[in-house]
Amino acid sequence: MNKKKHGYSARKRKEAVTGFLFIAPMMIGLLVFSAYAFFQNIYFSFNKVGAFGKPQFIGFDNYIRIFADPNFYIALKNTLFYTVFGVSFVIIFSVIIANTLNKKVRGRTFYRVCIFIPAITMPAAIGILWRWMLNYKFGIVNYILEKIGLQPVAWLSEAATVKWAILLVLVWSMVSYYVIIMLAGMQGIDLSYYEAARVDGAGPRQLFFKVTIPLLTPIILFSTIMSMIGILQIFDFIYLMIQRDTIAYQYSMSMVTYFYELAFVKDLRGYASAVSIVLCIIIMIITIIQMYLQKYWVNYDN
Amino acid sequence: MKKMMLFGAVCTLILLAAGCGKQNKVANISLTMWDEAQSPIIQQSIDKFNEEHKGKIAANIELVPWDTYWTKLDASLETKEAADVMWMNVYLTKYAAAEVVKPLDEYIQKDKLDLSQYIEGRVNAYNLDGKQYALPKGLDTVFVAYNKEIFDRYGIEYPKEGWTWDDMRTMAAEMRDKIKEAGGKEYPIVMELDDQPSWMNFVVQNGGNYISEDGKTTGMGMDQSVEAIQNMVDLMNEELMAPYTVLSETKGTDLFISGQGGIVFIGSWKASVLENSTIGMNGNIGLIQMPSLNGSNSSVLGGLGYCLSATSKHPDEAWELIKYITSEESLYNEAINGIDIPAQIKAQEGYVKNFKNLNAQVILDAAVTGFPYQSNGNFEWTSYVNDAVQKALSQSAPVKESLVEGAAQAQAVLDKIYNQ
Repeated sequence: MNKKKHGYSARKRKEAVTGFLFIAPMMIGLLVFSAYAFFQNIYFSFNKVGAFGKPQFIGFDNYIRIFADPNFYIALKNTLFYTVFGVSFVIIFSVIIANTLNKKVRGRTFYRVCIFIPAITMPAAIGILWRWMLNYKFGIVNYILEKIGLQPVAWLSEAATVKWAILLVLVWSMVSYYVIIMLAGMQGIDLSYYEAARVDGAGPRQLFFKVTIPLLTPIILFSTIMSMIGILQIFDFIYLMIQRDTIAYQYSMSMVTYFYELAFVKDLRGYASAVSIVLCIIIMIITIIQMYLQKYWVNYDN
Repeated sequence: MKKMMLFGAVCTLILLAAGCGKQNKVANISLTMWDEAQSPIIQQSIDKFNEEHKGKIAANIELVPWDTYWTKLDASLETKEAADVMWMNVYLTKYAAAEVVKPLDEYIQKDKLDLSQYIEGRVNAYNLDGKQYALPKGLDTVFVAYNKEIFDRYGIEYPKEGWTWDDMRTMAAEMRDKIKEAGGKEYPIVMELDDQPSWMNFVVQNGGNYISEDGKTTGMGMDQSVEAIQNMVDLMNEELMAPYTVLSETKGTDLFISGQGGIVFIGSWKASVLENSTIGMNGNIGLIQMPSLNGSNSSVLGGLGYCLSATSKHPDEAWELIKYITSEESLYNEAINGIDIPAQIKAQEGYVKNFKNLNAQVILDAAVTGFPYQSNGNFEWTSYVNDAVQKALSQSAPVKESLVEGAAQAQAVLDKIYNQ
C-alpha cells in the first residue's frame, strides 16, 4: 500500500517538473519582456527619466502634472471618441456581415476571402495605403468624388474629418477579424433553435433579433471587451497617416500617440510612464464594469 | 542515438567557437545613418576603407529611416549597443550633455589633423565647451527652385537675382491670374511647411528668432516672428501659395516635380531629386536665392557630422573610419555624385561640376549668408511653438494669438529647465 502511494507521487512530481520545463521558455519570455517591463514602467512613473535612463525619484509629481495637462485631456477625449464609435461600428458591422456570410449566398467563399484580407495585412501597409487613398490632391477617394460631381474633401487635414478618417480605417481593419469570430459563433448556434422559432412562425428578421443575437451575446461580450481594449490603445494608424507637424495631428492624437511623443520626442520618459499607467487604470476600470454588467444582457447556454 | 546527437552538437559548437575566434581578429565597426539616397555613395567610401584596412577593420552601414533614427539611436546608446560612428546634426547638444558621444580632440592632436581644411562654421558647429565632438561631413542650404516651363507657358518673367518678398508676391499674383484665365490647376508658390526650408528662414529674416543664441529664450512670440508667419498666411489667403490642406498632406517637393508649382522653397538635400526629375532633365529648373524679406535673405544652414560613440568597443578603428569618410577623397566622391555639399573646402569643386540640369552654384552661394539651424538640443519646449505655427498656418486661430500663447508655454518650459 505504501509503496504504491510513494510511486504515484514521484511520477506526479516528475510530470509536474516536465510540465514546468515545457512552459519555461514562454514563462521566461513573459517575465522578461512583459512582467519586468510592466513593473519597470510603474517604477519610472514615479521618477524623472531622460533619454538615456538615469531615473530621479520625484514621487507623485508626474501624476499631479497629468491633471493640469491640456494635451492629456485632448488625447483622452479623442481616444474615447475612437473607442465609443469604433467598438459600436465594429460590433454592428461584423454581426451584420457575418450574418450575411452565414447564409448560402452565391460566391460566399470569395466574399469570405475578401473580408478576411485586412485581418492578415500589416497595419503599416494598411496605414500607408489609406493615407494615399485619402490624400486631398492625389487620392483615389477624392478622384471618385470629383468624377461624380462632389467636392473633394481634405480627409486627413480638416479638423472635422480627420478623426472620422482614422475611425474609418480602424473599423475597416478590425471588422475583418471580428467577422471571423462572429461567424464562428453563429455556426456554433444549434440549428434546433431556428427550427423551433420557424415552427412558431418567425420571419428572417425575427430569427436574427430573437435567436441569433441573444445566443451570440457571449461572443459579442468577448468582442466588445477585446475591441475596446485594442482601440483604447490606438496608435499605429495615427502615427502612419498623420504627419506630426500638422494641425490634423492636434485634432487626432490619442493617448498612446501622446505617450510616444512624451517618451521618444520630448525625452520625458517618467511622465510618459505615468500617462501609460493612467491609461492602464482606465482600461482596467472599463473592463471591470463590462464584466459586472454582463449578467444583465449576456445569455450563457445552460 | 541520443549520444550521437550530443556528440554532433558538441562538434558544431566547437566549430562555431573556432570560427568566432578567428573573426575576433578583425574589428567590426558600424556606421549608422538615415537617407537611403546617400547610402550607396557612402558605401563606396566604406568599401575603399575596408579594402585599405583589409584583415584589420571591417566597417558596415546601419541604415535607419529618418522618422525612427533618433529614437533608435537613443535606445541603442542607452543599452550600449549603438553603432560606433553616427550621423549627428544640431541635436549634438543633447548627446554631448549626456556624455554618450566621445570628444575627438585627443585623436585630432595625435594625428595632427588639419581642421582648416573644413569650413570653419561647420567645425565650430560641433565644438561645445571647447571639445570637438564631430568632424563635419557636409552642409545643407535652402533656396528657391522655379519651373521654367510654367513661367514660359503663362508668360511670366523668371525671378531675378536680388528679388524681394514683394517682388515674389507681384510675380505670384500675375501667375495666379494667368493660371485662372487658362483654367489651369497649378499653384504659383509651394512650400514644405517644415521649419528648415520655410518658416524658420522667414522668422529670422524678419528679425525674430526660434531660440536665442544662449538657448534659453524663444522669440516666436515677438512681433517680427508673428509678422513672418502672417506673411505665409497672407500668401495662402490670396491664393498665391497652395492652401494649407494641400501642403500639409503632400510634400511641396512632390507637388513641384509633378508640375503643380511655379516655385518651391526647397533644401539642398533634395538637389538630386530635382536633378533627376522630368522637369529637371528637360532643363526647366532654375535656381535662385530666397527673396529677401525686410532686407535679409539669410537662410538656414544645416549640416551633418560624424560622431564617435562613447561606448564603442573599437574607438581607435572607428576614428580611422571617421577620418577617412571626412577626407577630401571621400567627400569629393559625395560631391560629384551630388548627394551632399562637402564641408571640406577643396572637395566642394566636385559639387557644381556634377549637376547638369541645375545651376548648383546657387546652392553653394546660399551658404555665404546663412545662419545655423536654431536649436538648443532640448525638445521639451519645441512642440508648443511648432504646434502654434501649424495652428496659425491652418488658420484655426489668429496668427498673433497662437504664436504668443505657444511661445509663452514654451518659455515656461525653458525657464523650468534652465533656472533650476
